[in-house]
Amino acid sequence: MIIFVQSIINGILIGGVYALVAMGLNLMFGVMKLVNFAHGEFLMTGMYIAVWLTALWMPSGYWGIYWVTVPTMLAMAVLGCVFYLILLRRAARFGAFPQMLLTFGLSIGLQGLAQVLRGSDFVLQRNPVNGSALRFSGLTIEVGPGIGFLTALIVAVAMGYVLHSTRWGKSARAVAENIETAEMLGIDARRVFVVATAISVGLVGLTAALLIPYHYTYPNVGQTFAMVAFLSIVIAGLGNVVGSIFGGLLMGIVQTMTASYLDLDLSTAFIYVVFLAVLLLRPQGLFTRGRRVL
Amino acid sequence: MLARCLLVGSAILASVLAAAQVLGNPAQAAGVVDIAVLLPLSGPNGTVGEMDVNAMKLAIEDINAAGGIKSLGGATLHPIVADATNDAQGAVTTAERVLSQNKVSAAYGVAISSLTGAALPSFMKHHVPVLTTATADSLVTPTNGGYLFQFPATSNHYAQLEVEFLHYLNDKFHMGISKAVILYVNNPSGFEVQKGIKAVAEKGGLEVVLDSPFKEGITDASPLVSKVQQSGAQVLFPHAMVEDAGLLLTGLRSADSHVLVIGAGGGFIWPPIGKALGENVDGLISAAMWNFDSKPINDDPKLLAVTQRYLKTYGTFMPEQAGETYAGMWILADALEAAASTDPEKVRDALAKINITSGGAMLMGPGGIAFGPNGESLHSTPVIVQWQGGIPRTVYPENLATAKVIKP
Repeated sequence: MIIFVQSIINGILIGGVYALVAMGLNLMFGVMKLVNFAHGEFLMTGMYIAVWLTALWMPSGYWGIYWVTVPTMLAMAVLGCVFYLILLRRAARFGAFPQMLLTFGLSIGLQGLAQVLRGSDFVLQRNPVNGSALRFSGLTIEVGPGIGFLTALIVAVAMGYVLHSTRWGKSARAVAENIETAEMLGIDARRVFVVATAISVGLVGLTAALLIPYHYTYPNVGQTFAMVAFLSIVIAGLGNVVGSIFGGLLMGIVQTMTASYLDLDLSTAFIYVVFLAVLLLRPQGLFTRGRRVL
Repeated sequence: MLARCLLVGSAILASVLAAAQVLGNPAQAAGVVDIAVLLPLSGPNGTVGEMDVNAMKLAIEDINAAGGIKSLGGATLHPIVADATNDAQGAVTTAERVLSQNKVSAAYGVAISSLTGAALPSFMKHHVPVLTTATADSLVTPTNGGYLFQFPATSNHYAQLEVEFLHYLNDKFHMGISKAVILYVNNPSGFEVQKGIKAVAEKGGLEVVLDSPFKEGITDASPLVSKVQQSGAQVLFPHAMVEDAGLLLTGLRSADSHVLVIGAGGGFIWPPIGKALGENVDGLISAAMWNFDSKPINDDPKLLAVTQRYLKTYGTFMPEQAGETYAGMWILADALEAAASTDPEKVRDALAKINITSGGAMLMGPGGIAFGPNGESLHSTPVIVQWQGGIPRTVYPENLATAKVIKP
């Protein structure tokens, strides 16, 4: 029984991180109909920024390393704005496909840049959170991933509020539903896109800052997370931002349960089996009813 | 008119291509010997390539400063470094490109067993011998056509040493360890380490309660940690690269696991793990193909100066991969010296017969360098290291040790 519960806990903890990455990805897809292949590399960029900030200064104390959370998120949000205004907006003139190719090219470019600037070395700043855990009744909850999971819950609630109760959120949903009609009604779609990109990239910045206490930073670090995030958003339902949290958690649980009860080596492969099953049986996503817009 | 234009155009193009071929190929220039150095310089194994390149620069500086290849009139070594990427197809493409565009006398690479195995047919096709640090046993078989020379020990040899060391610990500290878990990355080297450990462990009375591969590049080590805990094992033999090793060790610490870890693979011995774990790295044990502070190196002022220069130049102790590459460059220089030719076939013959007992290649170990009929190393010996005071110290075998093992 302990193994079962521990596997669920482990799955939920890593699933929280997948969910955070997936929510940003799904927001861009939902609003802009764009699959951002550079999402993982934005995560990597955020991790390098966070590591650099901690190297500059880190307050003493157990939680010291988390001071970088807000600055990294803001820096990445600004980077998201720049990304939209300088690259995506121009590429949009030529259609969705060039935009997608651009993000693909950007992902390779960012990886190469990281390699040139920082080398292929694996970086992990020494800090007290790494390796610390809460233990009770034979169960372990790692602090670093635990913080990630709690943040994912808060972000999911906040995203639900922003999308359904704020002026920008309503505009974003209108643009996602039908951009031409939304523009005729006076909604500035370009502004909606800038903010959506800023939030999406800002969210990976937040995830990056939450990962650096316990996860190595290196040029390819974003790839694995982004791949699972892609699967999570398809499972949750494309464009279902808040539902992404369930997609991420499900991916995490499937991964850990497969490792515990089937085979360690199958844990990654099995999430693709679940992904294919969802595509075949419920292509609109497990957590989406009908044709969902955000 | 059109035909004349085409003719003139073709002639100009042919001249430009011929000139580019001559200018772009330093092997044509007097006194320079080209060697292909194919390494993973990007992707998850890019750190391996970086360490190799750092050491290669030092070695080539030393070789050329010592008069170059004397039998070739003091010719200097000129490395043509190329990124073999991180996948088999990339390694093949790079090998084909470098070997077909340059007249190289020998090649060095491709560091990772799966990449080396994939690129091997290209070396065979171009009749260029390749000297490798890749450790898979499957590389040193008659199928390599006599073109591959593996100068460290094999993965199997390394695995056997891990089990031998466990028995040594059991005897020395009366630890009574009898149940083992083997976790290894899902690649050729990982499988060979697993096979090696399992075969020796079971013969030595050790019960292997779990052996399982895992996919390289994990995002979370908790499933691995759970497996180890469920198994009730007292010793864990993990084979992993840096990012996975770090997550696994941190996961074990979080779970308050007291399982003894005897690692294998760069993840447990390269500088990043020391930097990441800080003082917590002390006590960690791993097998290594080479270590900078083995006794023969510390006892030889010239070899010691090499490791100290690496520390001064790059700010870290000389890691396993770098030490091997420094020695590897010297092995190629010695083979060229013996061949007295830049013809890759003659260099291959020289490598097959070589018996090095002095010079920079001795950094590999006291036995010197010689190869068996399938290109396997005859004398290289792996060692066991234990992190002490933030650096990996050689603790076993006793004749190579510079520090005493601290009870884990």
